[in-house]
Amino acid sequence: MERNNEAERYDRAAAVLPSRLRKAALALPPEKKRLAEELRLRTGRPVTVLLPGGEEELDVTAEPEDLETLCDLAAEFSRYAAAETLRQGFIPVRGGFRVGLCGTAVMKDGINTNLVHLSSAAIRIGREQPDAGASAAPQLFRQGDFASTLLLSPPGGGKTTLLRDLVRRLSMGVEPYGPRRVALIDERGEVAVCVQGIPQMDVGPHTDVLDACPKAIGIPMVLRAMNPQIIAVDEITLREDLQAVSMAAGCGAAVLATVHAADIEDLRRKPLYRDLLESGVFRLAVTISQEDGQRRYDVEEL
Amino acid sequence: MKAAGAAWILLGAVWWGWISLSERRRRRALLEELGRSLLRMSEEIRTDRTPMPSLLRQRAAECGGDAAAFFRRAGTGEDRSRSWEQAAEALPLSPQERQVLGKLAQDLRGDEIRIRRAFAHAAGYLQQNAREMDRTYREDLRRTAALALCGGIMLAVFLY
Repeated sequence: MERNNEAERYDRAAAVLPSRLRKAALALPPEKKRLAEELRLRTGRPVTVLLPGGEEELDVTAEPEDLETLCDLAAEFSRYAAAETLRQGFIPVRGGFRVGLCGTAVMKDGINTNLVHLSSAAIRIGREQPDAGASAAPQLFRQGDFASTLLLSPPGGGKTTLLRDLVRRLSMGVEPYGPRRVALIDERGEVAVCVQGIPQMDVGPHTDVLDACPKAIGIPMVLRAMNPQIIAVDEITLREDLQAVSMAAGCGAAVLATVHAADIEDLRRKPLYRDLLESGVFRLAVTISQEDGQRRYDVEEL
Repeated sequence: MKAAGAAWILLGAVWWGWISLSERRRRRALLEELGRSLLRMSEEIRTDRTPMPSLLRQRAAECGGDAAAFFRRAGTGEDRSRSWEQAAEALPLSPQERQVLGKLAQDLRGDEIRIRRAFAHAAGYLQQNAREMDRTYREDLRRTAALALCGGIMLAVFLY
C-alpha cells in the first residue's frame, strides 16, 4: 500500500506538467516512480527524472512554452497570487509539491521582483516520512522541556524531512511530555508547503505556520503574536537569523533549526556557526548520516 | 393581393428594424457588463489576490447571457491565454472591441500591476463605447426606423 502511495505521489506531481509532457512522465516504471525525487525541465533538452542514481532522460523535450504553461498550472493561472514566492524562484503546489524556476530576473533597486523568460524548472516531489523523527524526538527533552536543537546534514541529506516530522510530533505531543505550541517560520515554503493558507504537509494540530517570511522578520512576529513554546526554522544561513534565534531564546521559546553541516566538527569550522554554538542557544544536535542505505539520526549534546 | 404583399414587406422591414435595435441593446448591455466585471476582477485581485479561476467562475455565475458565456469559456483549457482570445472572438461586439478584450490574454501572465492596468484600460474603453451608444441612441433609432420604412416602401413600389 505504501509503495503504491509513493508511486501515486509521483503521478500527482507529474499532473502539474503540461499535457504534452505528462504522458512521458507517467510512462515511467512504478519502481522508478517510487524513488523519483524531482522532475526537471530545461528548454530545448529532454525532460529528466532525478533518481537516487542521477537524472534519467524521458522521451520528450521541453520547449519554452512548456515552462510557461507549467508556471501557469502551478500558479493556478494566477501568477499575481503567487508573486511573493515567484520572486524567490518557486511556487508551492497543492499536494505538497514545489516547482522551482529559473529564468531572467527582473531587478529593481537591487531586488528581484519577477522571473520572466523561464528557462528551467524543477518539480520537487516532496514526501512525508512519518517515521523520520520517531527515534530522535523523545531524546530532545531535558527536565521535561524541549531543548533547543540543531539538525545537521549536508545538502540533500534529509534535514527538511526530519524537521517536518519533528514539528508534527512535537505539536501532537511526544510521550510522556505532551503537545507543544509550535510556530513554524517556513521561509522557503518547503516544510508545510502552504497553498492559499492551507499546509499541504501534516505539521501537527498545534502548529502555526508563517509562510514565505524571512526568519529574521518572522521570529519576532510570532514571538509577539502567537505565544509559541517552540519556534521551528529551516536553514539558518544569515547573521540576522542568528540574532533572531537568540531573541527567541531570550524570550523563553525553544528553537528547532536546520543547518548545512556534516557534523558538529564541520559546524565549528564555519565562522557563522561557531558564533551560533558560542551563543549557547542550542543544547542538542541531531546529525543525519547514511548507513547501509538507511538514514541514521544521532543525538549529541553541544 | 398587392396591398397584402406590400403589408408583408413593410412588416418585414419593421422586423428587420426591431432585430437591429435588439442587437444594439444586446451589444450595449454586454459592453457595460464586461466593463463592470473587469473592474470588479481588478479590485478583487488588489484586495484579495483571488485566483483567476475563482474570479472567472464568479463572473460567469453573476453575469447573464453573452458575458457569462465569455467568462465560462475563458476559464477552460490548459492554454488560458488562447481560451480567453477565442472567447473574445466569439462575442457579439465590434471587431475593435473584440480586439481590445482579446489583447488582455497577453496580460494574464503578468503581475498584479500589469493585469490591473490592462483590465482598467479595457474596462474604460468598453464602458466609453457603451456611453457613446447611449449618446447616439436617438439618432440610431431614427436612422434605423427611416431605413426600415424607406427600404420597405421602395421594395413595395418596385415590386408593384
